[in-house]
Amino acid sequence: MELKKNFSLVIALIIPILMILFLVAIVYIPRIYNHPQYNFLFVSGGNYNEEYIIQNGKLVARFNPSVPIDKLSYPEENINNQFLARLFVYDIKQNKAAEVTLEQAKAFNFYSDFESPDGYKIINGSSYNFIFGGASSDPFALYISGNGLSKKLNIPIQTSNRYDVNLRFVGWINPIDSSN
Amino acid sequence: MEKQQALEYIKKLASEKLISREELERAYEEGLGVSSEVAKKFKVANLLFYIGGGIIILAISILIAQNFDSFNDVTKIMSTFGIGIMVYFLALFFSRDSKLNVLSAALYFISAAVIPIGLGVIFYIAGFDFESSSTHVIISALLFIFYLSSFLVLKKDIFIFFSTIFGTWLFFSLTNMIGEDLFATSEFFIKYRILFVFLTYLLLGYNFAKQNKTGLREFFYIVGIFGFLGSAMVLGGWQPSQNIFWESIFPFLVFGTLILSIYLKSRAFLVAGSLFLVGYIGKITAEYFSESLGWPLALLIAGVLLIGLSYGFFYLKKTINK
Repeated sequence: MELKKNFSLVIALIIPILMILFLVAIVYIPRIYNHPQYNFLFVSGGNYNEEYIIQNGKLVARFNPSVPIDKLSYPEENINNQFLARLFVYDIKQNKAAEVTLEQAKAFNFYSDFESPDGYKIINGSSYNFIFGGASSDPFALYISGNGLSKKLNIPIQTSNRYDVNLRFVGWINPIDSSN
Repeated sequence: MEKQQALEYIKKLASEKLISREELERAYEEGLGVSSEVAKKFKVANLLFYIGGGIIILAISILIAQNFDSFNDVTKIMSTFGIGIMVYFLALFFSRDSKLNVLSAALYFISAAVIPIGLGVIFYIAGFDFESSSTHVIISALLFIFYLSSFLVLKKDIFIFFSTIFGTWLFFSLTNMIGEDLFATSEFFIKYRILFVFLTYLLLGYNFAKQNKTGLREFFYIVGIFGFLGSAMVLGGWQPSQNIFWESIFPFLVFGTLILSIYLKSRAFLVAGSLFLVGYIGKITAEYFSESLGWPLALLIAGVLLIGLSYGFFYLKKTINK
């Protein structure tokens, strides 16, 4: 009788609880059956005109001439044609990043697709600034996404200004013939 | 004279323009033992209490912002959290006298605005990161528990209002914390959770309507229906990335709202339904017909629909007022 009388109140209280449970399910259940297999290369920092792209399965580092030198974060260093970005290989099984040199990175073979052969993408976080609850994703982080999974990657890069971190995905490493 | 007879007689007088709304209200207030002059003074006094409350919040905020760096930690906490708690207990003291209920409510509002600032200061001094959802979860949970406990102990409706506000904050921050990884790659849950929060508000409003809690009913109905229809319209999106399901279902939601306005006797539903129907007609016209029919013809059709709508609005308003 009491339940019938307060039916709308009970439903109003159940809705947020069910939504929280639903969210827990869609966040954590995909982690049980998803096991990404491929490592990838990403860069951090550097100047705006530095480009790291995959051509014919190999890493190519170059300067984009359309970016004017006075727009660069470090114009003095760039005059000497130095690549300032730091390169990292993300070990997906151990869930950690290890820094590599440009020469080491050039030795790897890469897949040319943005998506890995097992169906995952690496994307940057984006900030949602709500009145309630703070930012809901980290714009200074990389996330692996695909097959229902969405997970922040473990990339603890320290800089004095976190805007300098500027993480960019480069390519998925093809394990065959790659000397990693 | 029976109530129904009296109402029929008032209707007859009104139709013959022999009685005005003001005369009717005055007679009603006199029946309650309140002269219209006294009632007006009360309304002005209530308004002044709330304006005064707003000025106090503003003054405290400016005072703290201007001198925050020169305060030591204890002063920072006492000038925010301390004042908030003090005002809360002052409100509690005044609430014992029913004549001072309005003053008490104004003080509760001040404390509900100042206590969160005070908690924020405490957490800031303790070194918590305000960009982290977990900090928001802790603060909102403390406030929610505090005001819910206040309601359970003191049984005052004003605490339902505060509990809902802080409960909503807790819901948003908790889902942000759980879903951080998901929200980076998908907006799906973010869009739907707003819709469901406002649906919850509508259900709460319905519950308060059944309990004759007029003030709470009005607040939850107004916020709930505008938020619900607004979220549903946002879910519809805009060409070329529109969501056909939500764009198609939206007119049914609006007409459902208009029908509910009669059933619930709610002007908030009527006004929201009408405004969103106008918005929907404008949106669909701009999205789909401005190119094919051309703007002048599209506007002409929209105008005819709006005239029809305005007739429907007055018809429904008459039905609600009956």
